[in-house]
Amino acid sequence: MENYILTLLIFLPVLGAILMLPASKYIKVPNIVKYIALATTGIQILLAAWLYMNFDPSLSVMESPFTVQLKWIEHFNIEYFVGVDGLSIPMVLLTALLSFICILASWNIEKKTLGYFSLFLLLDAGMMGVFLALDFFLFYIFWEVMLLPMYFLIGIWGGPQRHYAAIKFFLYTLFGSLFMLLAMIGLWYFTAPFNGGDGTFNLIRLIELAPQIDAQLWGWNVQWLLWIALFIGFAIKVPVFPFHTWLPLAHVEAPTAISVILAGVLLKMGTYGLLRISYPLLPGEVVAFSYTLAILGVINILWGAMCAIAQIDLKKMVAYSSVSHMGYVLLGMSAAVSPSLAGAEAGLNGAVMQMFNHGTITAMLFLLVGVLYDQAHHRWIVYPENHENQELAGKLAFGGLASQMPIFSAFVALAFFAGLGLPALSGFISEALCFIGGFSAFRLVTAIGTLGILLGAVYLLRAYQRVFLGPLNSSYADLKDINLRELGTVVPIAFLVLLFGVFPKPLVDMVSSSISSLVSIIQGAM
Amino acid sequence: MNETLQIAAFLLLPILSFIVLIFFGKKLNGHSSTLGLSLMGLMLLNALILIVNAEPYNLTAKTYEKWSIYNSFEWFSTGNLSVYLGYYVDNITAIMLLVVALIGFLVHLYSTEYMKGDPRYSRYFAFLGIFIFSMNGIVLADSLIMMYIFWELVGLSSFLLIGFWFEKDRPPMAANKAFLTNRVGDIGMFIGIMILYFHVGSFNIKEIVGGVSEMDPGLLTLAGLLVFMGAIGKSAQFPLHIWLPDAMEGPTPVSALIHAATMVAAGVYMTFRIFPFLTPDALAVVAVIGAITALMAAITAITRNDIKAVLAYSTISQLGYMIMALGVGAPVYAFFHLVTHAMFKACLFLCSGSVIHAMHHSLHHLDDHHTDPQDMSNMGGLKDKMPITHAAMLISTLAIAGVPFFSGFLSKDGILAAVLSYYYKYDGWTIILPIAGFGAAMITAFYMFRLIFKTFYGIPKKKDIYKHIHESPLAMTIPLMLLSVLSFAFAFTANLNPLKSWGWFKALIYKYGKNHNFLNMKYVNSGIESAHYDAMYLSLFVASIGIALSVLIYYLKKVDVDKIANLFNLVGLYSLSKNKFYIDKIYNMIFYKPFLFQTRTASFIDWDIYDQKIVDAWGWITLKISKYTGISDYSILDQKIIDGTSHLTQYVSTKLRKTQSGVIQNYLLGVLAILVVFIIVINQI
Repeated sequence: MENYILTLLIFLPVLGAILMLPASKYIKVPNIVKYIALATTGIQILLAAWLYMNFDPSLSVMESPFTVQLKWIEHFNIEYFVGVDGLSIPMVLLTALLSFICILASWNIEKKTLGYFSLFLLLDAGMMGVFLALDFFLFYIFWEVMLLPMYFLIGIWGGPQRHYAAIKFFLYTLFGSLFMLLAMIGLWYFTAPFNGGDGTFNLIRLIELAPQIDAQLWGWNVQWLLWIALFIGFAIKVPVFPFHTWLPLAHVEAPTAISVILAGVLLKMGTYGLLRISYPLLPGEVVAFSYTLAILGVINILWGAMCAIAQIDLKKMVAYSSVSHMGYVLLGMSAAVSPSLAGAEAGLNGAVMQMFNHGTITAMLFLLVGVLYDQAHHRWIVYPENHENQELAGKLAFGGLASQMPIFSAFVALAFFAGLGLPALSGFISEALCFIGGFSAFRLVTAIGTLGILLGAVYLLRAYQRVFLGPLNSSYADLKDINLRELGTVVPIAFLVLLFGVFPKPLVDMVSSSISSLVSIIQGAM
Repeated sequence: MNETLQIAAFLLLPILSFIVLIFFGKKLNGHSSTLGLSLMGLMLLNALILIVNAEPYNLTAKTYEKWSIYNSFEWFSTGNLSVYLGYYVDNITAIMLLVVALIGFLVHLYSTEYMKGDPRYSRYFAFLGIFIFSMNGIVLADSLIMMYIFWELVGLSSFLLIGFWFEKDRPPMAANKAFLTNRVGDIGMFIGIMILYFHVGSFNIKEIVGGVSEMDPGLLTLAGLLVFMGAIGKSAQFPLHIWLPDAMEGPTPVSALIHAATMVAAGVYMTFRIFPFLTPDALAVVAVIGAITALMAAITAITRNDIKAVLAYSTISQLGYMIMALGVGAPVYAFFHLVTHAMFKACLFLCSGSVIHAMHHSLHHLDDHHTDPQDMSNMGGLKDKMPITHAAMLISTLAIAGVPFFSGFLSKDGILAAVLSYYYKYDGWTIILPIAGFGAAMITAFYMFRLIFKTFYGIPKKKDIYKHIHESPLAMTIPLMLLSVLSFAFAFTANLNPLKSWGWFKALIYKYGKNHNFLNMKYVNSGIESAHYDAMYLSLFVASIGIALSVLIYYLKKVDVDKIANLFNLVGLYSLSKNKFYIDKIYNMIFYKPFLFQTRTASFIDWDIYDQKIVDAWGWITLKISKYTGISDYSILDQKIIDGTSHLTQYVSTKLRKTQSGVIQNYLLGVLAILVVFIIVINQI
């Protein structure tokens, strides 16, 4: 089992997708495609749970029994090399969880179900692959594999501007991939002299090799060029200001489940990539760049929050909140160069935990907005000035939903309070750790960033008040409260948000030892 | 373990109440109050046991045993950074726990009647539960990080309670305002905690107090003041006091709980805990903020007509006293005032609730939904209809006004003595502190009696309403009676001499005024001691002036109110008071509105300009370029060059054919030539 588990996690969804084709043709059960998708992701969750139970955080990837390393394209030293450590396991669990939940949340998809669910499973496989790959080439392939289903999922099943959103997302991300490809080839080429003349994509091996690069290219330091190329590639995914504008559009236009995946998992690939590849391979550049990274993180926090405050579309507000919340991750990551070891650990642990926690919290936010949208068919907080019905323009769109949909509103409140970093909910610990870490390294910048604590509360509470509190808007007196299936999508996440808020130890223990070795790599380069 | 369990009960009982009532409240319905009440009763019992066990004062030896119990548990650890949660219980903690439990219990009892018939009856008790849970967390916390956690949770629970009647327009706004204003302070607190952590290496309050000595004094001043910002928010100090008056939108028993005894007291409690390491410079700032708050809020209270608004501003003002006391180095009196204030202010709020309840029922009876049941101009003469409420309110008013025989006198007198001795010592600008202190004392006496006279005396303003006024039921009046008993000085001293503040209570807290990292507390305390008589006579004098003026204007009606108002308006004081010093308007004008405008600008720049014009320009440029490359590709490269080549080739080949050669050979030759060039180029790289 140990040898197959990771491969199964990656390729099980592919198997499910392949199975769908004959099944939809020959098995005459309504919704058979959905059931196959549900079963596939269900098994995937069980596998992920098994992996978690047997995961020993103290082992490095090379010692881990799950690691698989096979030759693939020998000529270029490309390997099928997958493994799991403290950095990737939270992401693997998150991916498995959100995939399953998203299948549930997609139950009301009626248009071209076969296409939707098979593409979704391919997407799932791509994401798993990215988080498990330890060979850069393999990583890159999964990275690209994931892009295509995403393009179609947004472009076919999305909102009114779906074509524009899909193409923009695709081109923007592809633009980033290009830099990553260059960096990958560069790494292969420039480390070859230190590896007996053979280039390698093995990310573990490259940890030793890459820092030895001492070449110049067109007058630039190669390590620096590699860092910049990788950073652009990953920054677009995060997204780091100023590469963030594809995000609100794509998130808003994508169908609910895809928004969940986008915000919950895809954004984390950017920061995961930085931590998995840029950080250990180019520690010298990390030291030089981290002040910039901290500033970018704070800009993300504040700019994202400022923009979120101004939004009158609930989903767009949540989308901008992701920009803000990913800023915390960047700030935490910048702490790797902190003079205080405790601070560096706080920052990086905070960053990885924030990746997980933001994944769950934002998933909840998007799911809940989706629930509201399904019933009300719009999600304006305030109608826009150019609304087709001029009587409504500029008016409050909802209002008082808490009396009409009490359970739903309670979950929204939970999600909102988790989003604004309330203690006892998971977001608090990771945000606090990111700040503590950031503060130990860059005081003033972080102190400015703490304004995010306030701004986050401003947009969430204002939105909550305007949509859910106050007198009930009589046009919505027929809305029904959240139903059982929708509850099924939200409750598990809510449970995790509460659990890791009160009892963060399992999450910290899972990641902290991998973080420690990463910290020592960075600190060694100072 | 037994001890830990006993302490944990202070958290477990209220959270249990919350959990059960949130999930099963609908089923329990009418019984939910019984559940909440009995759990509170257990907690009160627990607090009493704790304080009896805690009694450390040895009467004969006149010494303290160093009684404290503490324990902590690792919450999580990243290796080098470990975060512990734990409790630290000493006399102060035990007293605070008792205060919270007592007021909590009484508020529960009171609410069983007050909230009767509310559609979300059990939800209300659930929220009370989580509130008390969070508050106890602050009280028990042994570290700043744990305090911060519960600090935020108090913010949440006050949000829930203030916005309890969310179907109305204003309560949700008030709830938001409270939460957000508090968060402004919390940011400072959080930064302060981080500074302290990275210099001391611990979040534990005891360790921080012991470890700050090597810090740069300027930085320590900054850190202390930043942490104190949290208290400015929670304890509604200037300039963050604006949330408290709005928070009166919550149910009145909630006001009694969170604006008298608990939430607002948390700021004072926290400042009390960090007092030992606040530098003299930081303390001076603390004192000034307290003084400004005390005086300004008192002035504002004079012109309120809403009975709860008067109490709201009086709360702010009294909190200003406590903060000022901490600033001038008298933490003992600050804490003393915190506790006496908790009793009499809870009593005042519950009395006002009783009045509002009666007014509400009368208005309901008359089917009148427009008259404001909280407006004092609709009241008057209620003392005959509501004798218990009247008596209780009168007693607690005497207490807040600082009249001998009542608790407020003891604590306020101590604060004023400390303020006066501070002035004696430092002279100069510090004169503003005694001015604010004694001025606010006079104004307090004045507006509180104004409230009493307008509500309970004179001729009823509205006869029909008056007709249907009834005294509230026992569940509401029992807390009033109990709290008014606790507003007597005797309850705190067990001594019949009204001027002596020494007693069991002061004995419990006295040693906490003895330690400070930078001040020589012996010297400070002896200064307070010697200023004691000056302060007492002066405070008695100003209190009697305040009361006398109030009697003259509102009871005997010998002086026309409008004339006085005009007189004061010569210096703009009346308008300032009436408009709450314009602070809300100023904030709206210089912070809130411009800020919202900026966010819209940000969003516009982000999307309409940056994304649509600049980012998408890349797409546009690419399209244009590809159009031209398309053109050049087809009409130039393809049509002219490639086809041209083929024309050329055709021409050449026809020529070559003439030389008896084949086209194929030429092609092969060309390919070979290209390959050679390619290899040469490759080798060059």
